[in-house]
Amino acid sequence: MTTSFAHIIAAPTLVQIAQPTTISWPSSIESLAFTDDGSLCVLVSRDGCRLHRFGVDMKLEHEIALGVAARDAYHITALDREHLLLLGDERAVILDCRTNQLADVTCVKLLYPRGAAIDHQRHVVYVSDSSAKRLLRLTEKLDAAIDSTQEISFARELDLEPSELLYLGGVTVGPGGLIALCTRANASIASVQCSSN
Amino acid sequence: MLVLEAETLLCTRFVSVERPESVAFDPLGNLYVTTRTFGGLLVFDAQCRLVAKMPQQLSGPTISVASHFSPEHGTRIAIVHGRQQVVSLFAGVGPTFWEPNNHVHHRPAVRQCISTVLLCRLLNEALLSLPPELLFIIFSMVFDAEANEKPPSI
Repeated sequence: MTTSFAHIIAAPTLVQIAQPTTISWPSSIESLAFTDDGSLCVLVSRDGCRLHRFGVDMKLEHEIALGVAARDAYHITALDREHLLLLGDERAVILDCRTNQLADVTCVKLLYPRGAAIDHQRHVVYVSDSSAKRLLRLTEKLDAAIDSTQEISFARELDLEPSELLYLGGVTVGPGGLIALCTRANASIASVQCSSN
Repeated sequence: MLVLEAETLLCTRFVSVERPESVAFDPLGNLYVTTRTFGGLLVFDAQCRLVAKMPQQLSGPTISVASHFSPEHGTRIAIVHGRQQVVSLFAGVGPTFWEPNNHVHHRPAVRQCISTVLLCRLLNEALLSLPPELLFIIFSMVFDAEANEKPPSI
């Protein structure tokens, strides 16, 4: 029993990876995301912006030609089963996959955002905005921004130099509300706490 | 304007990756990182130890990564590789793991592995949260019990 306790505390979580399945396109793939039901959405920029949706078996289910409003999109994040958040140069757009309708929902000025992630527990969306050197926190439906004084300062919390903030990349929310954010030379993992301020 | 509750971030740890591009968690807290300089996918466990890499035959930058977990399929990972390929794969924990071609046989094993790891993590956290005095008493009892065990008869 003693060795079992020691084993529990020290045991690493070994991850194994199965043989991959590869799908190729003739040109530029911008981003991908899983929706809540396990469908894989792939954003391809060839011939305008197109969204390919694959089932769990990786068979193409349907393809959406995005309109002019999303032509500059280069990053997608699934908000739920049917809604995708598309990031472009200076704005965010929500796509309803059932109706193929786009809703321009940008509520704050964005400057080449690089990644987004939704925290279903807290009902917020985090957007890493490299050029603006900040991590934004928005409401789940992006229908309102937070007070600008509440913007999260990664420079302060993660001890980053201003130059490093220019390299903010992908962001994700994990179990327990952990946030991981790509910077120049590492992925920073931070926990979120409600502030008493 | 709707105002969200104030939050602060507490930086807990880093994983070192040259020019990381995209990140994704799985339900166990494993972190999947793509990088512009390394042809593959790096996997770090919840303690930030490097535990897996994508097959070496993939060269060139990997860009976007996403993950999805379901009890039926386990953890699925998809990455954009080299701008022209999407690679979909299955990740698992322990000696057996989810495989796309024979998943029927592996499904219970995946569940069992994930349940075991989750249980271990819960036990670990529970043990670490105990006061040192109580922890000492528990371990003393365990050591005493082990010392009093009779050697197996030959």
